Amino acid sequence: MAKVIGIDLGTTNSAVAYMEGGEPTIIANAEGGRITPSVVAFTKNGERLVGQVAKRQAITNPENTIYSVKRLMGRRFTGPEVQRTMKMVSYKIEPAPNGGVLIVLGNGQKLTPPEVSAMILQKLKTDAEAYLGEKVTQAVITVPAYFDDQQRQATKDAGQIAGLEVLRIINEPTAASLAYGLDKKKDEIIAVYDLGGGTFDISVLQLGEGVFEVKATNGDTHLGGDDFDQRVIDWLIDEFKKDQGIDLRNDRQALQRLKEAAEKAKIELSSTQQTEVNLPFITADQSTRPPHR
Amino acid sequence: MDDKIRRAEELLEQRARERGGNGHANVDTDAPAAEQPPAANPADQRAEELTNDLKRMAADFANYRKRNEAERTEFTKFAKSDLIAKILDVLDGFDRALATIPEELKGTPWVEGMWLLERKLRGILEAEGLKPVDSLGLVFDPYQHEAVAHLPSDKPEGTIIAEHQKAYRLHDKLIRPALVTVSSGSEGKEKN
Repeated sequence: MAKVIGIDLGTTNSAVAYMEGGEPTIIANAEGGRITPSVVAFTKNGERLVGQVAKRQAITNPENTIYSVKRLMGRRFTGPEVQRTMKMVSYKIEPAPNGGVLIVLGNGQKLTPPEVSAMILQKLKTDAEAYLGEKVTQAVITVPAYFDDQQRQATKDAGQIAGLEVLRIINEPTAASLAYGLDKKKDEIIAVYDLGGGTFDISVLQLGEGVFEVKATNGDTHLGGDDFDQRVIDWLIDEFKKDQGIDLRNDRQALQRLKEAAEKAKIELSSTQQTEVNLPFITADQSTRPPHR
Repeated sequence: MDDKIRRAEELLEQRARERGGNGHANVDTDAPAAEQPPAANPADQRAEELTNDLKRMAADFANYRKRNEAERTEFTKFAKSDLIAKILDVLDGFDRALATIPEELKGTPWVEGMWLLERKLRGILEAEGLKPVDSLGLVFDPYQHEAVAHLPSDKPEGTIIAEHQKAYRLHDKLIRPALVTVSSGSEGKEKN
């Protein structure tokens, strides 16, 4: 029997897993990563890039690099979320004849959000097939608990375009609860806290007889780990300026190193009480006496 | 797990119907698979089911073993790659430090010692299969380079005009892309 894959199609990153010996196992992508950035790009030669490689070239190709497409799934063009997303992204968005949303590339080509999501799903499918050594045709995809019928349908459409039969659309908090084995417990009310790269969702679920009922959902659609990183970077820059009188904001190379160090520090602070950020020769290019931090 | 979800969703729908309101939205309302007509001999049917289960498990195991072997081969080759990738940070530190030696220290035995240390570290890593990859002046390739800036220059669009961090390969695998600035051509405006 062919394997069914489970897909977390995220705003910032996506992941794919399958059941192995009764346990869910994350499948590494072709680049060896456990998560794949939800980014699709089209190069000048017409080549389609998905994931990490698309992200790496984003700054050189802003009009044709599509990210955060989940924010557009099954939405009306006039809705507040689409209007907010339009101001945030570097690619063009226009109204579709049916009142939905179209993404317009630099060459005028138009794509629907499910078409773009399908490209991400296709990459996950191909990588899963390479890993498992067999064809994959069926999947379960998770969506936020607050997704309405249209958004769920758009996600199903994306799966279909990618050549996947979508067996189920499951609520993200439900999937998280199942992964923690919470279905085995009896009547309980639990809160599932999901802090992603760019979104924060909290859901209250009622469990009982194996049923997960979503009692309430809330959150902040524009708050995530990336904002945490930025706060850490800002703090490091301010401290360094106080200490050394040098503003690292104007130094691209230093900023890049700070970004990596800030993310690493954030990750370390999940498991330890304190951490040290040590960036030797951070401004070595600009001064003869290289200050450290 | 799928069964649990199916059961859960059915129960949920039933509850929603009883309440008369609409429960939380769910696109998937497929009816459960039609019931099989009762078999002539339940024991035969059971035997067939179990045989199929066994076949499936044997196939799964064969696949698992294949995958495990492939992973082990990869592992022996790249087991060190995580550690080496971390040490690259130290190598970068040496590069930066030695590129900006204060004038008054240049040529002193102490600085020479630092050069020797750097060469020793590099030698050890190269013996493990590590190779630096040059990027400057090449055409930007997202499989090898990560763009951190896009600036106008007299070089053709897409050319790498500055390298902020070197790319490294371990054997044939890129373990770290280069961080680069890419030319946006002579008429492009600054975009970053």
